[in-house]
Amino acid sequence: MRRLWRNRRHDRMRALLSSYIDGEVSASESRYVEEHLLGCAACAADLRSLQATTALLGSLATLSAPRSYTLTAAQAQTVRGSSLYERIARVWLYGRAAKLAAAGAAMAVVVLLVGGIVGIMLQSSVGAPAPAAMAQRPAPAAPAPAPAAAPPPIAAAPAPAAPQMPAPAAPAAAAPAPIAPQAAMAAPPAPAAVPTTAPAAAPSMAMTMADTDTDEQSDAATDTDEQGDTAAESDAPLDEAQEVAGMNTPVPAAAMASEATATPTSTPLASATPTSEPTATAMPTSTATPMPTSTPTLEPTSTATPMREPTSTATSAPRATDTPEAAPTIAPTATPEALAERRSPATSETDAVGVGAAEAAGDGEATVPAWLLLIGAAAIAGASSALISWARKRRR
Amino acid sequence: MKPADTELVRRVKKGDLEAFNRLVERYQNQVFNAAARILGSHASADDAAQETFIAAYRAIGGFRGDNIRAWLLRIAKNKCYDMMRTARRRPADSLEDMPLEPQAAGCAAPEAEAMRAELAAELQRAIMSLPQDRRAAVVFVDVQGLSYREAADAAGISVGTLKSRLSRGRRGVRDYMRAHSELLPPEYRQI
Repeated sequence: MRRLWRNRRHDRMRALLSSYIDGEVSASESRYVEEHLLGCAACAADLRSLQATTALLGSLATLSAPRSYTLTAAQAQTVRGSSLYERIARVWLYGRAAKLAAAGAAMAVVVLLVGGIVGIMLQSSVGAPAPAAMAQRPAPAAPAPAPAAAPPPIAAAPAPAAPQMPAPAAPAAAAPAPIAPQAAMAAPPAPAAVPTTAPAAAPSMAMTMADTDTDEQSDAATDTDEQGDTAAESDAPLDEAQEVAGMNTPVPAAAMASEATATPTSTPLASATPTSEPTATAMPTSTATPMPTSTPTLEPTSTATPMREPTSTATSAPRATDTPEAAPTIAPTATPEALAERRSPATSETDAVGVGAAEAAGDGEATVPAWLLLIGAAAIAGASSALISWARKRRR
Repeated sequence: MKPADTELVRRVKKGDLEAFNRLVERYQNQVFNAAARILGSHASADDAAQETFIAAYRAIGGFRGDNIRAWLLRIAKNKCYDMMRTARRRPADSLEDMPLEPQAAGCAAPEAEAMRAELAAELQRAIMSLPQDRRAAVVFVDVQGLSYREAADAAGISVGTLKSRLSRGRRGVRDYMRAHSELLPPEYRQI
């Protein structure tokens, strides 16, 4: 035990002696060394040998450089140039950039794969009928624009009624298009509704309204106000009306159901509207229908149905430049109740069918891509995290 | 009056090649000496010193310290380690060549000079017998005469680590010299 203790003290001394020679010890350490050296001949001898060794090493001559290592301007230029080159080479060959590039390439591959799959699924799902979940949506939205519409009921109520029909139908079944034509036909005032414009225009206008162009809606709103029929229904909030309008747009099946000459409007999702009749000539229109008077609140809905193609060019033309009377005929604001009143039983049946189809189509479009997008996003996130972790491990 | 190192470094960072060459002239002997003591070879030390200053010129833009000598010696040490690593991979590329110690010409006491040269060569061999980290510590402190702080900076280690390496290195040199004491002149055999 005593021997062990002594060895430990000597070990500590050995560690201190080298620094003690150079004076690189603290005052307490210096005192400790000096006290120990007084009673320890071995450590004193060790100190002397280390001092001699240090002296010998210090006696080594300083070797002079055999030449000058100064750089010429050309060398400096080369050094700076090569440094840049070497850095780039190192970074790209061995550095992080290579790992990042590899990770980026892998990510791109994953994204392309997922994107391709999503695209394929999207295309295939668009045409397929979808569940009727949306069928039960509240329809009252349509009337909302009516209250907003400032213009008083000037135009003949019947005239606008025809076009309005589609609008209410749209909220109810999300497929206003079919209803509109039928309503126009069923309602006696419909034909009269379009006195200023061509008779054929009436249904087509109705269709366009059903599609819910904002402009058209605003027109419709004004119209409805003028009509007074739908005025009572104007309680519905504008939001709902807009929502309904948005729902209307994608519905092609409704067009099928409706026998109206006015073909259903083609929605941005062309594939979704296979049923729509191509007969309708493109109407640049809806944009043309100026509705400054219409409430601005309706405008947002326009985004929902930007690509509508009203059926007859004839109708479109008048609408664009139409007088205020023409505009009213387009009013889409009729509520479901109003539609029910105007609709004949036969039309209502057809409407129901059309609505179901429309809902199906709408659902298919809305849900499938969302699922696929979520899956794709999850896959991308997982792949990216895996790649990042892999790169970190490699770096270590 | 010589401009301070910091002033020269500042000028070099602005692209003043002349300032850099002044730094080279100021420290090239110390860099070469350290490389030669660590490598034990003139030719290799020459290469190491050349590469040291090239690397220094390339990297001086990133120099943030205040001791350019320690920074240069650190680069030199790293170059030496690289060369030793290469030499270990390729034994044919031995670092040993002609003796490092300068031959005194026209010395009045050729015998004493021979003894001194022999002692220096033996000390160099003792240094070369050390592991490279202890070797650098011994060279920086005992041969180059750097302070512990500066030597630690040059070696890229803490002062405590330097003390430990230096103590072991000195004992290693001492043990080597004791083992070869019969080759030394009598006055050096007491180690």
